[in-house]
Amino acid sequence: MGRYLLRRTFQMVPLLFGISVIIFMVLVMAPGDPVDLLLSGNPRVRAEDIRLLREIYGLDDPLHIRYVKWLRAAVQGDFGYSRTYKVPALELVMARIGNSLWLTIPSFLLALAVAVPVGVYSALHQYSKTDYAATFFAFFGVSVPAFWFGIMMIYVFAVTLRWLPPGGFVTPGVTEGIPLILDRLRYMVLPVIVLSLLLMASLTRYTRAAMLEVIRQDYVRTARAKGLAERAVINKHALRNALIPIVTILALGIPGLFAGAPLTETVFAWPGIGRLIVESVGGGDYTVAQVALLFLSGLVLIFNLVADVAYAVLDPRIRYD
Amino acid sequence: MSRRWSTLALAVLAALALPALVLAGPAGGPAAGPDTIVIGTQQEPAVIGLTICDACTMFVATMVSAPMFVPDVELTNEWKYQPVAMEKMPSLRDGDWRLLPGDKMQVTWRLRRGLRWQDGTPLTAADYIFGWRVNLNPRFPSAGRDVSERVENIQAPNANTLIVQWKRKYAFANLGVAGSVALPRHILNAAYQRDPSKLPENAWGTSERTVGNGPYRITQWQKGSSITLERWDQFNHNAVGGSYRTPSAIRRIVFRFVPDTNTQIANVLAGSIDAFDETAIPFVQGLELENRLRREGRRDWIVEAVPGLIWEHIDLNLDNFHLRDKRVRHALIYGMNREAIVQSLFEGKQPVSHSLFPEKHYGYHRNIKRYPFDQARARALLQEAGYRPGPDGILVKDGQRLSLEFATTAGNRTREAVQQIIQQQLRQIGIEIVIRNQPARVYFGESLPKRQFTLAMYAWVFGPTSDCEGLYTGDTLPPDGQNYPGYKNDEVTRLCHAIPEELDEGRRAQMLRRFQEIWIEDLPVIPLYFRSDYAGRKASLQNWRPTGATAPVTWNATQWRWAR
Repeated sequence: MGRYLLRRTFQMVPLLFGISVIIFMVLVMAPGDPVDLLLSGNPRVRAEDIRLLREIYGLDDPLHIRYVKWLRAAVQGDFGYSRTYKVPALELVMARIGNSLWLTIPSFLLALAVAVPVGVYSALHQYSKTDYAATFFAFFGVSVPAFWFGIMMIYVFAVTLRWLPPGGFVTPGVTEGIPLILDRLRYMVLPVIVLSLLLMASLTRYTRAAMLEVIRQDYVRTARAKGLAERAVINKHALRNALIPIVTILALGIPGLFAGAPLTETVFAWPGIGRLIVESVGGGDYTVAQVALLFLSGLVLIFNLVADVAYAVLDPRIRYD
Repeated sequence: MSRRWSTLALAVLAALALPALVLAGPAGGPAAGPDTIVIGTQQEPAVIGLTICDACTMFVATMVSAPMFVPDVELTNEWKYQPVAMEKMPSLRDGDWRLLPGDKMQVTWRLRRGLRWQDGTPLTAADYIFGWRVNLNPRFPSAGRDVSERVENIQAPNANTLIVQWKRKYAFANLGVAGSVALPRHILNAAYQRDPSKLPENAWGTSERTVGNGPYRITQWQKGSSITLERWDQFNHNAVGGSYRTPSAIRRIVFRFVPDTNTQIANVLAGSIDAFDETAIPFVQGLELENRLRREGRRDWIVEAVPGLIWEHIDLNLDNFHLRDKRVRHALIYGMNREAIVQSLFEGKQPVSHSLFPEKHYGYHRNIKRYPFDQARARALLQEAGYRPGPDGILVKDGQRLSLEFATTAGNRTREAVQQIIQQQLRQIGIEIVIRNQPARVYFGESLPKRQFTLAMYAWVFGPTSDCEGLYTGDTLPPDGQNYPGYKNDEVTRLCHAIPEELDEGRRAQMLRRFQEIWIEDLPVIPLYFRSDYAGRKASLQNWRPTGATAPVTWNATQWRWAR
């Protein structure tokens, strides 16, 4: 297993390199000059100023030169400055990742805490009222657009009931300690619920399907025939095996939460990585978009590996050495 | 098992929902206490203070900067200029603005005494000269060098006097020292000497380390979320003029960045912001919000449209086969019922424009030629131009159908609605309009600068003293300027270059009127309407006075108060 892990880790390097080339080329070749875009609507700007700005930002260099310059600086830890925010791109991205974690970790835990028991219960009580309710909930969660659901949550809980803030990150003046944590929690409630919905729904469906398949297997029947208690049959024999496909959904769900966050973060004015990606791509802030997209790519690679390792842990028949 | 899992799930949900029991404040009162004002805005500034660099031209940067930096001269909500950091506005009559041989000029400014940077260092004439030099440096990424380059030299005989030598006459030399801002030389000089192109990347301007010289200082900047300004109690209100003379009653101003406009409206309805600026909510949503508040009888908010200087129009590409003919251009405008558009979409709150200047502009031509909605006249003009109906009803000339592509920013609901109405109206006179909208980055970043359009709808952001130079002069076609229609008229080119150099306002206005007469007859552009922008505040917030011009709503932040 150790050698396998090492090999996979080394394989990630050329993969990330290839991904970085693709991301760079796609971003740079996308139509729309970032300087023209930056200055649009400003009649005071002269052509000469635009030329000078393009020169300062190196936008007239050939693509391969620009990529080599970027790569050379990147391997030394310099990912460039945000053209929009005038701060180091890496610093900006790291701060936004930190903010996103406030949403993604609770969303993941919430999805897990609700979806697995509901899915299991639903499978064990197939065609019951609870099962129908769970199935309806799962379809609702998969179908409903996060954007619309977010607006509805704001309308109900912030505008009508006025229990929670309609968006933002923290209340002005609250800067540290327990009050800050409690305050942050208030702002988290609605976006966490919205963000977790999609993962929760798909996870419920997968858990239910996996459990339905497993509880009909011979070894479960055998376990029951041996006279094992129902709880032990479900926990030790059925659930453990049902978890194997679920692990894939879970592992890939984490990068999915990051990637799926832009709409939620935009609706709730949450300064996370998802919103940053949308803004930087739209605004031609390539240095930031490059780092942020590379981060997401790295996350997908890492959690693919995590999923593979988790298979081996859960299923003794799988060996990678 | 299931019971244990369910219990755990409930516990997690409860833990998340528990803080919800803490309720938000009342809708009509301050969102974050009586010493604070929370302003909702859509954008986040890139850099504050360095208002001369590229993206810093964005409106929101000036909004955050205004309470932090004292301007030379401020523009009020009545569009009057008054001195703030300077003792007076120079004038030809008083002799501190003098004409020199060879069409040169000299303007003398006297900086008020007692002003300081927020680290205690005095604000002096040297800071103004430094700011001007930085802006002139071609290695500094500035998008606003046009005025600074008109200045030949600035001298400072003492710490409070600036003598500005202008290379040639410039009509607005009394509205600011040299088209640049004062910068703290003692803080920025070392970084500037190292690499001027990296100056905007300095922590000054992009973080809490920004040292201003105004009545508020920055204490927190959470990127992507908010900026907090706190009252700087050492500010000497007696040392300045204009609105800055009033001691600030509000301790804290928070700018909260809310990119989604639906969320912004939810913030208004929930009372979690105290005010929003003109950029926060698009006009149509602002109108809906105003009507909703009225319907619900809510008196805790005042939401109103502020007439502005943003001019919506349609550029006509004069290289197009059809549009080269002036009669076709005239037929287009006669065929559009612009009055009906503004009535049906904006309840008449965004007035039809007959010129590029609004009525409030000093150069507005009151008797400018107008093009009423007259489809019979449009048809006659097209017939005169040689167009005949084709088999599908669309007019044809020399085998070419009168079919025009019409582009604007995709996703802009207002513009798309205007487009569709125009499409229907022009179809009635035999003109086919094919809508081809593009994302803003392609539209502004590619199509307009490369003149890859036939009809293009967008807006210019003007100031109270804007003119036509750069937009309609024959020598400023892309890539040498922003004359996107490709309009060339020798008299217009001469006038537009001469207007900024005419010092007499009466004569300047006369020249502007002559320009408008030629321009509206040639019609390289179809004027649509002037945008009004919605700004709002809680009813108990006093002295909130949006300007509707380039000056931000924070111009008089020191005068804001909560009603007792």
